[in-house]
Amino acid sequence: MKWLHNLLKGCTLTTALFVFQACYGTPQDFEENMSEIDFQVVSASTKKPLGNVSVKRWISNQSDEWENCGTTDANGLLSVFSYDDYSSVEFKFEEASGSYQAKDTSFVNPGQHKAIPIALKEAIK
Amino acid sequence: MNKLLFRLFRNNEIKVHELNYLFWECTSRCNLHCRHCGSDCGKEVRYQDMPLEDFLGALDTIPRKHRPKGFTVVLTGGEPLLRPDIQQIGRCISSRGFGWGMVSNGYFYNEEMHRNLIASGMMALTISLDGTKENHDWMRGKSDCYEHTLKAISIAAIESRLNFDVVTCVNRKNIGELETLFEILQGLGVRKWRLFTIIPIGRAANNPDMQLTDDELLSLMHFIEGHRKSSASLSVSFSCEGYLGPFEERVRDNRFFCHAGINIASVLIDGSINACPNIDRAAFNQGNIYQDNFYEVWENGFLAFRNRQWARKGQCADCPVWRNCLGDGMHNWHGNLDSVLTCHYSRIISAIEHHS
Repeated sequence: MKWLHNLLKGCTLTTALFVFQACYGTPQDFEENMSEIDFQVVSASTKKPLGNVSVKRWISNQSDEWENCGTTDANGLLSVFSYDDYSSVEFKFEEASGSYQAKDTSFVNPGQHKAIPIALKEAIK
Repeated sequence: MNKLLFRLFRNNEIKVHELNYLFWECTSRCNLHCRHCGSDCGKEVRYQDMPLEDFLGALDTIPRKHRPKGFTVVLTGGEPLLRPDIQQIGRCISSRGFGWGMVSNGYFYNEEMHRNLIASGMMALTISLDGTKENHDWMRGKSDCYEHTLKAISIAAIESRLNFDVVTCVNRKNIGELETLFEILQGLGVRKWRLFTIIPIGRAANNPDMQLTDDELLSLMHFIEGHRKSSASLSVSFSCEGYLGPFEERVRDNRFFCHAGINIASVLIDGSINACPNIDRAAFNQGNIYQDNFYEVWENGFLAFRNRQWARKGQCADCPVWRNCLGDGMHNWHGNLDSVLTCHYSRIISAIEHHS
């Protein structure tokens, strides 16, 4: 019964019931300090959403190479979580079929951004 | 009444089976050669480290709507710090909205590593300490291990952004120095200390010094209970490894509930999908990320974990506390699954009766 699970989990008095630690694992209860950035990738010409676009990022002073954040869904959407203390992050968007040009874009204080539209231009043939 | 309500809660959780704790055995390489290792890891390994992209592929099968707050990915091994891409691993997991933590022997954990891992989003850390110098180094098979581990603990213990605990595998050689360890850990500022026993699997199966007697298990319960009653800043608890009968709620925060396969899954070094990494890999294998969709396996598999009636045999067949225990921890079922490897409840009862 999912409703009972949600009810108990949301109740202050019973929240502790859900915090467990696998025998050989780490503690589970911690404070999260991440912000979520919602990207929507669309075609620059048709404005239609683009699925299967690979999103990678480069964090200033931290990354050694481009880091895979996932791929957009059929609606062109992908949420990427970012720590609030990342000062500057560059994102790269690459569509899988090669029909669109890749795009790079940079953000200062990425945690302040919530929803970001990205438009990819068609590849030059 | 408490028992009844807890069983209702547990049975509902089993039905809902929300995945919120995922182990990744990211390497089987290890710089140490521990006597009790359940994974039988070492310097010479059968499998190469799993590429990060392969694990991310499995992680990405978990739909966004099925990633509850507090979902934890735990890097385990082997020794995760042997992976040169450990920071990138952490950032890629974080970018997907998962919290992540790591189980480490602490040997390579220094100030620089600590800063880098915190910056990569590490939220939880567990480091093993298995005794004072002589016993710790004996258990870990390396002569300077104790100093490195203590240094690592001292760094992690004062980090406010980290949910950190120390674990100790209690055995026949170190059970007499638990009070000393308590003082050492409290002096280092550690807030949480978790004690567990060693099940006879992996290398521990061939080490009789690893297994506590029933009387020693009972004395361990009394040690933990005594310290939980004190007002010390260091919280001591017993791991959730088995049903403890009269000591339930006296030696840990919650009642016994083996979450393996209910909330916990693992991706093992060869890509196989299981619950906890110390569970019998052949008997309870659920699939492989190289052939199967990980989340579909979670949704449709793990049936032996969600219905444990099959375990009502051997020592558990006529057990009066079956409803509370459901066959102890799943890691206590190995090989031909004829009977549970060890029964915490019966051992504790036996020791109590012996003393009364």
